[in-house]
Amino acid sequence: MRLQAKGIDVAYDGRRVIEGLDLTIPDGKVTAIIGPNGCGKSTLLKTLARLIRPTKGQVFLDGQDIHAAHTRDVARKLGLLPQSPLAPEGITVADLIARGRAPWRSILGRWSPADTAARDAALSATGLEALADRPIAALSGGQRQRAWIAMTLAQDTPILLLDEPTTYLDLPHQVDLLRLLGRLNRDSGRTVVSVLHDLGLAARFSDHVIVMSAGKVLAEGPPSEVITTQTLATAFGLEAVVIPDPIANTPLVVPV
Amino acid sequence: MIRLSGLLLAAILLGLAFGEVHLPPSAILRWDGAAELLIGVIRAPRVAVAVLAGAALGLAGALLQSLLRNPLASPDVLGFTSGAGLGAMLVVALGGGALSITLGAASGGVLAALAVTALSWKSGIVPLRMILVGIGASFTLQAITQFMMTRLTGAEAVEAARWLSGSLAARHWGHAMQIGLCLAVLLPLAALSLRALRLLELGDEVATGLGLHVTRARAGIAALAVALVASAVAVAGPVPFVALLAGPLAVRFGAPMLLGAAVVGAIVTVLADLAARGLIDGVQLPLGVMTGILGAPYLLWMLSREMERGRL
Amino acid sequence: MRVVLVIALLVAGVILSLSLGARAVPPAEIWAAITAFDPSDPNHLVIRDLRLPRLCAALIAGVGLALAGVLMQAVTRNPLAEPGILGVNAGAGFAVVLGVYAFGLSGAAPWLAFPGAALAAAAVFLLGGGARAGSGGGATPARLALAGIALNALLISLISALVLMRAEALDVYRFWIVGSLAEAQMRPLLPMAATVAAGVVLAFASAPGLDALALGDEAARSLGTRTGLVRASVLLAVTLLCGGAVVVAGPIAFLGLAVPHLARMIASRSVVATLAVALPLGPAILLAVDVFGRVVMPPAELRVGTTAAALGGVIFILIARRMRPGEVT
Repeated sequence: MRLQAKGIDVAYDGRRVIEGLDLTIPDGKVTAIIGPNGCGKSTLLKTLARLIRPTKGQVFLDGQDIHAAHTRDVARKLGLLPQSPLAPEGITVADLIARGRAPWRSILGRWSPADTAARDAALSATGLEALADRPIAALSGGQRQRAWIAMTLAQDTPILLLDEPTTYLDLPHQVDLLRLLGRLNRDSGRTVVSVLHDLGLAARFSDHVIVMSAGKVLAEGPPSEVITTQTLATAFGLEAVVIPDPIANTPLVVPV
Repeated sequence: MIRLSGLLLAAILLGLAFGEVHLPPSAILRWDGAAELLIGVIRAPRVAVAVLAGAALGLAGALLQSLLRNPLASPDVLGFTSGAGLGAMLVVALGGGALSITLGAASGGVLAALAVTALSWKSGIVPLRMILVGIGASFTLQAITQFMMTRLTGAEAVEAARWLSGSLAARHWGHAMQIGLCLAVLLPLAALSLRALRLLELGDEVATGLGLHVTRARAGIAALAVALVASAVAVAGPVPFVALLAGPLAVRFGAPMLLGAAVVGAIVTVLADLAARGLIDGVQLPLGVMTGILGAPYLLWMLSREMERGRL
Repeated sequence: MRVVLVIALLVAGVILSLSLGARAVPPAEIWAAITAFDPSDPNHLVIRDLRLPRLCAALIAGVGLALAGVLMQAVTRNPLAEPGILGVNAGAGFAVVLGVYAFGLSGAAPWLAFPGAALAAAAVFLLGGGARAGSGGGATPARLALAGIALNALLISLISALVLMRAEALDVYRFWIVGSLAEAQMRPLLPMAATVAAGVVLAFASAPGLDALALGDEAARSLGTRTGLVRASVLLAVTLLCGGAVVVAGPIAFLGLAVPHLARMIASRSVVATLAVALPLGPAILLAVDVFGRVVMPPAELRVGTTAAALGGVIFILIARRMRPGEVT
């Protein structure tokens, strides 16, 4: 397993958010991290992405402490999409995606054919070919989020971490986006980890679910084993019955 | 960019051809003794200093504006220029020469930058807080500079007053060489910083994700901007508003941010200097007065535009 | 108790201001110079011709700037609002210089300070978004401060340009551009005292309306406050207070920024109470700054405007640091 956390404590704004957490991200699968507000799921993702340094314990990428490795080498293995990133004024879709090639270029390195190929692949994977020359500001919310995902795709990393990628999108666009992530995983074997809010979507579109509560991992495993009346009550304080989804047979949460 | 280069060339030619003393075109074409003295000895070094100092200021402004992602974050608003002015002023008061004035300006600028950064730090940097702290710092630094002036003797005070309002009067080739050498070192560094800047534009988290040492890159770019400001202030005094104007104007012309800002900075400075010395007969205004008159309305306009877009 | 301290500070400032200087005059003699003036005694001459006018100028400017600061901070709901930083003082100074050098006015020129201050105050509110206070926009601290420095920079550049076009003007320029109490005997003290007094009355009259405005425009209107009238009377009061202060002392920053904050620490948060405390506190602090400037490095004298601006920048930073990010934007 390539990405692991061992015994990490994480403080954020001087407050300890995560305590003694061990976690292994399964390779080549779509993983969702869920949990109530303030349980530390975004903090966990940022720690896995080396944005936050744990006060205790370590995050390992390919067996090496992620903070000991050169940040550029990490960037070739692990891509990250933060929550609601901001695009510079006037930047076009193609230009934004091209910036995802940064870790692959040397200080004076020219734009190479490999860079062009990666950019075009990212454009076509996200279905943005026709919009390549549009400014980001002119896109709809769903298209904009696809453009950002395309940027992380151009980074060409085997692991992709996304912090609440579906926030501010309406339901059809959320579904659209999660299908895109699933396709990326199937086509190239990428490991995809996202923090999600919606339990139903997490259950439906992930292979592996991590439920967090008060800075700890409460349960993890396939959705059908993890999303149960029991965990929902413990993690969210939500009284609910879980029935099989009539289409996909994944767990469906029905609040009581 | 082609338009801007053309404009720069035109501004340089205008700066050489016009000035306090009128020189008929026939005399310029004949290149007689008067033309050689006036253009070759008096105007050419002055225009050269204007081009180089303007470029340095424009570049410094664009670097800081991109770094803090705020069009108002320029070295004059942030107090760096006032710091460089005070540093140079102290050296002038102590009777230092050209090189020590440069060093004084540089250390003043660096100290002001460090102080403003430290004072705005409160579990992180909020650009707007930094701008407000910079405004306060400029106030204090300018007051101290004013006080220093009252301690000088008459002739020194007049010279210092001119220098403080940003003046290019009586610049010679030595000044041009001095800032030229500074730029020869700093421009390649600015070109190298472009890559980091393009990543920082995407936000700290994305930039880290793409393999950038964000803190290190930030500090390096800020230091570069301060060095640029200091080298311009050392030869031209604390000229206000050029750094603030150049970046946004360059974007308006569709030019690349950094290179465009340098060229726009040069154009604005050459033209403002020309207006300052040739607009009103018999009056030589300091360059800084002219950029203030031109730049302040621009700042006001930009404020109202930012407000309309609801970003301020 | 604290108010008593403020008044004691003011009295001490008055006595020190009269007795300290190049020629020290003992307090007993000050009293004699006022009650039993003897034209042959040089001490009496110093008191009557130099120090009393200086004291009066400090009292007028101190009251004017402090109350103007309270009003501006209340009406903009902005802790950084201040006549010096927002360019109102520079507007008054510019109008006077313009009157002297462009139109050749001399006796009437000081009165131009009032239209100058009024225009600058109106401009900075407008540019800073003050006019939109009701519709969610509003004048945020950053906006207002930036509009102020831009206006300040423009006016000071224009003053420099005007002055440099008339080479003989440099002395008068310095007189107007650096706040100073030293040449007070040359300024029209009596008419300005009357003007500032009118401003004080108007300030207290606007105070209840300002308290209502603090709840937001809509709430104020539903409480029966005529918000437009309150703003207009505040603008007029600020004009009278700042214009009078600038005419007697030149532009002085800082006082209008610091005094309201200190006054709010001493009094309650109501505008009337703040004004009442600022009334003695403003001149007390201005006198303290002036006395400090006179004794810190004799025989040289620090101009009160310079000391005040240096202090003002520091206080501006302290206030900006205390604001939360949400308040800054």
